[in-house]
Amino acid sequence: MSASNGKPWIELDGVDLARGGRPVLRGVSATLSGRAIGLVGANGAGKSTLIGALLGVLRAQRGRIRVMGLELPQHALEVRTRAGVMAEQAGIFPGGSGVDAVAYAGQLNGLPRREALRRAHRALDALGVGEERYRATDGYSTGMRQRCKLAMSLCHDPEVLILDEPTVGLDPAGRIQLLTLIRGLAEEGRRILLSTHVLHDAEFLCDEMLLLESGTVAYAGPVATLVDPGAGSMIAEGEGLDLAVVESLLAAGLDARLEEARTRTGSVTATRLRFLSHGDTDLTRFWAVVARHGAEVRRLRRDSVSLEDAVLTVMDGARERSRGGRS
Amino acid sequence: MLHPDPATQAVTGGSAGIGRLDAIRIASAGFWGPVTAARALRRLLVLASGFLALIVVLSVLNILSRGELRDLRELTVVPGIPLAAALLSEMALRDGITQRTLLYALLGPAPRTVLAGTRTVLTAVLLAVGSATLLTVFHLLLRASFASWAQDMLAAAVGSLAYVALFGVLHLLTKRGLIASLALFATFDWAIGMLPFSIRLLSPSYHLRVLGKAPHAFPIPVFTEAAKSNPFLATVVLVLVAAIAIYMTGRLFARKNLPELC
Repeated sequence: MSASNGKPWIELDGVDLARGGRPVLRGVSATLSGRAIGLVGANGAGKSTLIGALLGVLRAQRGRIRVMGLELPQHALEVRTRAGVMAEQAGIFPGGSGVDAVAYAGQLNGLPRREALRRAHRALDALGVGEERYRATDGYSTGMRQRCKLAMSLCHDPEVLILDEPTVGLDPAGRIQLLTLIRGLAEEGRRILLSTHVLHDAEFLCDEMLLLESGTVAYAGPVATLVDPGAGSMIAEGEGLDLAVVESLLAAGLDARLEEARTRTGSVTATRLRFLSHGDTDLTRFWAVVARHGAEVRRLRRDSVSLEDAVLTVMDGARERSRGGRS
Repeated sequence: MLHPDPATQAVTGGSAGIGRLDAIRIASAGFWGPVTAARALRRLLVLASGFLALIVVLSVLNILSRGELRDLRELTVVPGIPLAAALLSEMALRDGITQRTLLYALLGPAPRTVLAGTRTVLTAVLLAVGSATLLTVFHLLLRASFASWAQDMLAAAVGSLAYVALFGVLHLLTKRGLIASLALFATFDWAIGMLPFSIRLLSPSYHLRVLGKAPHAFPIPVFTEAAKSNPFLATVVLVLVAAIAIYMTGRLFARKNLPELC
């Protein structure tokens, strides 16, 4: 597998892409190396267009695109050979059975008919599709259709999976089931790009995220950084956490300060201590200082926000920047 | 879980591209899959078989005279083949774009030029088989010579190829490809081809009529002899029209942004 750990496998540099004269992607730049990358944005944000560009189906008017280190559109065919795509818009091949559909996808990726059929059964086995594979796809439930489409994208053993809204139309149980299967594929070493507007899906699966807002990048980077804007900031609450403790923490090399927790009306309810911890060593130092001062910590938590709040914040920021840029 | 399969990796993994024959094989699979599964095609086959049976029955019962059979044979060549090509050429690429069945083929490793060329040729093969079958039935009923039958088979083959390719270009240039094809055929191709002037050499339908032994013209009095085509020249012209049109289809399709598909 050449899309190795830590190495960027999606590189975008100032990508502009217009469709029907309307700009859809505007100056999109990002370098992503995650095992599973969430491509998140509202409907019309440009997710499907970006996927089209990453596969060389759509051509950018400006900018550079590299996937798995391969320049597009020059190496579009090689990228497509090495990628499996579960496209939201594509239906399952009509008129045939599930195994026919998966074998058909295999043939379209260069496998001889017999080999495609063997691989189709293998992919369907892996995704837990049993005897249903012999039924006509017209009668499939949404969950079965999505599994079948996932098998179609997997049939030729791709290094990279590009999944466009794979959980659309699924109930919560079906969604978790499919995401768990996809997570298993990522754990095998495949790189995954998951396009979705469901944040829970991205949170469940992805370690990096590319947030698109009206065709521009609102955020690109690790999910952990997105939900932990304080980058290791910890908040301690309790008794005896005073200036003496802060001074000792500073002397121990920890960046610390006191804060006041306030109600909505502004009255101070408690004093809390904020410090930066970059790992277990810093935490050990913190607890040693607390013990030396005889302070009592009732609550210690990471200063993180929910993914939804974090995404809303960066989206708002992107919208503001966009408005500022226009005016 | 699914683990990488060495056999598959050998076929698809890591290659900068695939061989042209492999690409043609992939493009053919992409074409035949949806076509053979389509219920519309099965209905069309039933209708065509019924039509053939009707001609045979009417001929055996002497309701259709030999003269009428000859006229029907000529009409099958022109305007039959061009009109059927206008309808069928949509199958090559436009249908796949609007119905999104082309998406999987486009996301595969076969180059667009090969996809376009192969699908155009295969669509022409469908039309050629259909028209050749009909012409063969007429020849059997008319008890015509083998040489005449062979020339008609050639007309069916090159005529289908030329017109499917030509109208395929129009389907790529405009979403109203059917109207554009019919307009081109009626106002330019057929009308010019029917003129008793040398300009008719510019009309593919004139060459197809020469090859299909249906050399009618508008009854306009002329004072000079107009240049004529012959079966060899007609074949060369129609093959040339097909080659140029397939080349253009490939070029256009390779450069086309396809918003319908993403």
